[in-house]
Amino acid sequence: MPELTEQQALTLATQGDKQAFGFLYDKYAGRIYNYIYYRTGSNQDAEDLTSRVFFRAMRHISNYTDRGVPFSAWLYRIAHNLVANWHRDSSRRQEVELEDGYRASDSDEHPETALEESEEQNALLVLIRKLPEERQQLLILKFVEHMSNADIGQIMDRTEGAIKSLYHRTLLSLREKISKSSSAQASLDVLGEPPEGEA
Amino acid sequence: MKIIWPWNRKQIERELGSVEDLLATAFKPVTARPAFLNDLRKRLVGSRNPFARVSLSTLELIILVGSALVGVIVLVFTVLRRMLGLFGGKRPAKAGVPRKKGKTLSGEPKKRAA
Repeated sequence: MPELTEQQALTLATQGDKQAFGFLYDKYAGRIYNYIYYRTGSNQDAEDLTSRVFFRAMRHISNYTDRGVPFSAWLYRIAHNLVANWHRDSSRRQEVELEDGYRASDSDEHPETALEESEEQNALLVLIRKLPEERQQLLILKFVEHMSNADIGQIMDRTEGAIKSLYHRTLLSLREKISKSSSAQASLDVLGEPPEGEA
Repeated sequence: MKIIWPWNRKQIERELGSVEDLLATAFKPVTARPAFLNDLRKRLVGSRNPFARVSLSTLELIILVGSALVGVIVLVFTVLRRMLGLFGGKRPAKAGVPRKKGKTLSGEPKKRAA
């Protein structure tokens, strides 16, 4: 269906047209996967939850009513609810290192530099996953999906101003966490240094 | 909530900018395995939707109800037949009872060998 618009596909999908649903799937599967990957930190869980999101969407799409909110917002809400349940149910939620098997990497970088950067980024992502759920969701939608505050507001059911304010508070709290963790790291480094003259 | 003094504002804004830069580098888009995406698509769209609501036509409905009625009638009939058989009906011949010795096919009684 090359000439189909999202709105047409949506109308057909709500009437049970599977090909139309396939069109929507092709458009959003990657984005939903991205979102879930950054919320769970695992490829396997991201795949599992992405499947569940689309099966749930397929089951309930006949009840979908257009209230001026984009279809993506509906999908992200399903994803958000499933991830929240996953976090609640999962007992293995302690600081899982992000698997970097499928993350894009800059191939022209020196391996050591790339490794250091990757470690720093992982540490940052661990800090982000300690933030409240809504803040994590906001950061992912902003930095992975590159959405505007207005679009994020539609997904999170808040006003644009509320999103702007939440974003500012999130950055402040993240800055604090980073400075705390870097000072902790610095003190660990000092403790880890061999005493003078020992070498 | 911490108070941000006007003389600190510029420095904080600079720091927040660097946090934003860090975030931009940390959140690299990831790609799902193509095999996974294709497989999921097949499960969703390629096969029959397991969650699709089935709407029956009138003919299908008649056939379905008719078959159910026939099934119930056959069941009731079988049960009644069995119960009537239990309470004094003609009992079927028991297996294992020896048959009466009859004549041979030629019509003469069997001769015993001397």
